[in-house]
Amino acid sequence: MSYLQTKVLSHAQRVRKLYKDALREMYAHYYERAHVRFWCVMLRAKFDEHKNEPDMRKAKQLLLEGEKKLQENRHPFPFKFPHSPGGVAYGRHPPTPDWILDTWHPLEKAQYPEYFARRDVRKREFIERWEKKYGKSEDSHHH
Amino acid sequence: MFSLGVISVMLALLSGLGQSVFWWGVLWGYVLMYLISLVLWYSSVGLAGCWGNFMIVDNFSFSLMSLTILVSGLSMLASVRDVWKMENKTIEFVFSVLILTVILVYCFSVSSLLNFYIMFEFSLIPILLIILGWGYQPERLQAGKYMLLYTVSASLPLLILISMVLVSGGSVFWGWKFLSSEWGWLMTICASLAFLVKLPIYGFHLWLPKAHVEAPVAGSMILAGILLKLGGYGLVRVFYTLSLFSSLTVSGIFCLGLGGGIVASMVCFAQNDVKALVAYSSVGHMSLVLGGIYSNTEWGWLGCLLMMVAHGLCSSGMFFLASETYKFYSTRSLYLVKGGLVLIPGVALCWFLVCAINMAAPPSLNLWGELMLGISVLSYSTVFALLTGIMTFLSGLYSWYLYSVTQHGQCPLWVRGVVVMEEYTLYLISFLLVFLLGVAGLVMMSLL
Amino acid sequence: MSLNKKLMIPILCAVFLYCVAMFLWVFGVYMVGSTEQSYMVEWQFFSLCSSVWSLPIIVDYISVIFSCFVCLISGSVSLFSMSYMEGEVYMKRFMMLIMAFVGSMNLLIFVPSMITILLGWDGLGIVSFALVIYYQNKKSLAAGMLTVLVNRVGDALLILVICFLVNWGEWRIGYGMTGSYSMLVCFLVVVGAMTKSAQIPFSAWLPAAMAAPTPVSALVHSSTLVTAGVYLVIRFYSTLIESQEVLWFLSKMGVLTLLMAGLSACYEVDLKKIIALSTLSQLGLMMFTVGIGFPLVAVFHLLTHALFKALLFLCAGSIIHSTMDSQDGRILGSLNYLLPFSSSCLVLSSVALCGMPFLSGFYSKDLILEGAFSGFSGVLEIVIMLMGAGLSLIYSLRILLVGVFGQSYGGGLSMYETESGYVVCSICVLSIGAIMGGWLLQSVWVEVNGFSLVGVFGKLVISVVTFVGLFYSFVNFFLSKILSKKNPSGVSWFLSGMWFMNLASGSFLAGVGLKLGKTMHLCLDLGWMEVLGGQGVFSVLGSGVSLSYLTQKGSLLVYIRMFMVMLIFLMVCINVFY
Repeated sequence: MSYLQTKVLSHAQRVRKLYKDALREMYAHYYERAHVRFWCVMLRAKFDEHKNEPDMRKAKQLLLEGEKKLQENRHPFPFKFPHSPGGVAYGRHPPTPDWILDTWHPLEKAQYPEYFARRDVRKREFIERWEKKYGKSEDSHHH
Repeated sequence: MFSLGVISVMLALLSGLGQSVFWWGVLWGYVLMYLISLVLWYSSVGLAGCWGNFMIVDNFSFSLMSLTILVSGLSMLASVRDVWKMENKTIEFVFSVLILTVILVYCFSVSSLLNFYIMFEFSLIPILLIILGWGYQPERLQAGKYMLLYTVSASLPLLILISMVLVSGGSVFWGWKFLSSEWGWLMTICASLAFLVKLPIYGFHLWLPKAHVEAPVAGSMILAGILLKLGGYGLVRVFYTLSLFSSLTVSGIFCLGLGGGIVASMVCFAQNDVKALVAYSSVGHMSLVLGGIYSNTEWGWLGCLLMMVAHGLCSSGMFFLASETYKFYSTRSLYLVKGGLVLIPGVALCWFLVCAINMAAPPSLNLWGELMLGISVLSYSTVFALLTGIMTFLSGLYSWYLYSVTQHGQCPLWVRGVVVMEEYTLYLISFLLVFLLGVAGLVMMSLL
Repeated sequence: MSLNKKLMIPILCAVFLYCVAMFLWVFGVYMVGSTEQSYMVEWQFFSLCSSVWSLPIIVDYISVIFSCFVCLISGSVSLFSMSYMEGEVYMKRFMMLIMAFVGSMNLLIFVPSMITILLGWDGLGIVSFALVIYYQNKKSLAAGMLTVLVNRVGDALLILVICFLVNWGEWRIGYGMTGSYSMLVCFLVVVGAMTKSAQIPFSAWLPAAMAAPTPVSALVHSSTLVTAGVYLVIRFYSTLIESQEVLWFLSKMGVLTLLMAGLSACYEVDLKKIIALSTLSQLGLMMFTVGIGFPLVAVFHLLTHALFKALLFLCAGSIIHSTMDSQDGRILGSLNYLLPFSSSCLVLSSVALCGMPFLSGFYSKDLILEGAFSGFSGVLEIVIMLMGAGLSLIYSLRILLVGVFGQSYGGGLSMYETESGYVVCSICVLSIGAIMGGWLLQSVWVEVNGFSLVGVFGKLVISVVTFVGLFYSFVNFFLSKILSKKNPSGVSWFLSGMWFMNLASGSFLAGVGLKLGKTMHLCLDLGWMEVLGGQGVFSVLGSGVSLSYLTQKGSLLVYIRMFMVMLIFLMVCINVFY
């Protein structure tokens, strides 16, 4: 739900967001660790320059300019880790629901006798535990 | 002879004791009839074999009769769980399907256009009963109303035309030519309007998606598999008899058909119901059939036959799979049905094959039909090359859209489906059918 | 137990494919090659209106060698997927798809008839779709849709070609026939081939298809599927030569693709996408070669390219697998220390790609450049092609400098595994191919030996271009040590987005199409047709029924009114007629 803005951000929060965003952007632009560090330091210096800006109007202006500049200088290929959202390997293997094993035919189940025997035991244990904790289930319809 | 076989099987099974004996007996009767109808293929010496004057059959009739019996039998097999297991008016259901089969078999084999017209109209009653009796939502009443309104009102001009020909020519046997030059455009429209609605061509198609969405699985299978083919068959017969090819009207209907096919293919993407999508896709395919008939060439008529048989098998398969998906997910919405590849890999495989066949992938009958139709349409006018090309592209587009939207991705977490054994047998059967389609195509073409 | 059984499948496939490749090499190449003969077997289905529907199978030099290489590469790829797909649940499905792909590729290679080549042509499109959407994420779905739709455009064009070819009464290709609509047919074939080979208006799908598993990319998107278009054009060449305009068009599009892909590869950061773009530029080169009239040289380059490009992909795949799916050049780095074997083979294949003397790329590339100089192409074409050739050095070095020798993102987050025996085995087989392939082919195949005489100047230009590319990229790399602020400009957006073809063929067309469909559904199906059809008729009927109900209500007033109306009507009638 990160795409939905659910609350009003204060000025300080927006500045911090901008700073973090710009830092991340550095990784997209430079290949060498040293370069990235160098430009991060430069970025920090640029932010620190206006750290104690007393005039709110000017601060706001600076913030807007910074956001605009960040948007203009976005890298064409954003930097993402493979398994994080937006990365290349994200969501390649969606989790298979566990109940799908219950729909197997007995002939299929018979191919893995040990696993299904243990699975039945575990299921019974789980139901027992559940009933001990919450009482008997009124709805007997479960898969 | 053939119909006697049908009736005797029916009567024999009437005396069956239990419901299940009755059900499976009728199914086996269908298998027998299918075999008999296959034998008929080889018994024909030339173009037509006759039994008396009443019934005359040729290539068109044979293949469509076999298709009728096969699809009706499969539709009963597909509604095992819906009807037989739920004990949902089983006997009545079997009777409606049987009567429908008999009517359709008659319809494909009678020699007189008047008899054909009567059977053509009569076939509406059982399918209406099936939709109204075994459909799911209350909207099925409206769907039935639409179907009746469109098909009956559009076929009245045909009746007038047939009686006029009967009065002036003395016979409406489809083997004889009846030449008439006056009022050519009006006669062309009268002769084709009923079938344009039945095919249906875009613009007269409004009843089809509604009927498909509301019909039970057997209803949609029969509707898509056979009843739409009545339109193509009727066009072939009427135009063979009346030789009506008034140039301007034919061009107009041609453009309406092909352009409408493109529009129908594009409208597919706006659907949110699997069944509605498949229904619109059959509108697109049937417009090519129309093109084949109207081009009035040997290639076109053969291609039209191939396309009708291929589409009958393929679209009824798609409706069967749609109903399987519905049983599993309890919904047919394209926004909700996801991840079939993880949950039901067997069904997903069938979907893949059927979608490939629907877009005319190579070894299937659809491709050969489409090629022949394309050739005949291009022989009418090279301008139609553009339309045919776009339609070919769009058919691939909606087939893969349907496949990827329903089978790919992560399945919704709320799904709790149950797969039981008889479903597996059905998948096996449908898979075999799909597999045999290509082989059947080759055999059929070598026979023609 | 079942795990072992599952793992046996790729090995079995690999052994089978290697055996077929060996058989084809030993029997096919030497038998067909030594006698200099081609054989054709034809099976006729039926003949309708004197057009013969048949399945011809041609066994000649090109088809045998191509099929041999396809089997060799796919054998290596199946061996490789043993390690790459090790955690895969549906291994059987994956291998079946791969085998289906190899089968349809072979059908395409051996069948020289327009109507039955559809078996392979359509099969390639469908199977590659299933392989691209093999992973269940949205990216691969989008890429798969793009792939299958562009391929479908090619299918539609080929179907139209078949319809037009009825005019000639002949669907078999490779006879140098021509007839009515010759120009149109040639144009359709060429554009259809351009869709499969991802030439310029259709380029966007090839880099997008890198969302597939890496073995698939190695097999499908480097050496087989994308070369199907080139192969079709080569088979059809004897007819194409009759309409020079189409060949002119083809060569221009090829050289533009060469330039576009080379430039885009210099901006791309994704390891696999750089390789895909380099494939694209090599395909452009092949199309250009066919266009200027050297189809055999194009075949030669196609074959050698298949070998070293598959090797390049397998090395990249091994790196990606060992670094937990990282394929961004900014994350990868220092691989020469971490994965010495894979990175050294990567260097080998890149060097072969650049055309290092006496590796396989050299033989074919040199021939193409010589051919370009001796042909009838204009100055601009030659310049662009030389630029493309120089760019190939730049992007190959970019792969190496960014991925292999550069600095890695950081130690903390990355994990490394070493290559398994299967990977080493498969890479070794292909490396031998990449080193020896060009030499072997030139030694057994007489027709692809040097044929044109280029003066000292031409040779000099070729080498100068090569070294300028090398020099430029080194300078660029070392100059980037100087800390300069890099800001992406409009030009770099243009170049990195493949000249905006990504946007045009992806979101733009899809958006327009979907919106059009939606509008039609709302305006026609739910709008006018309901008004003129169903609902309109129902409302008219309804008002008619209420009118007749009104007249039969039994009210005296209504009767009197009706009587009056009828009376007036009658009087008017009488007045008019008498």
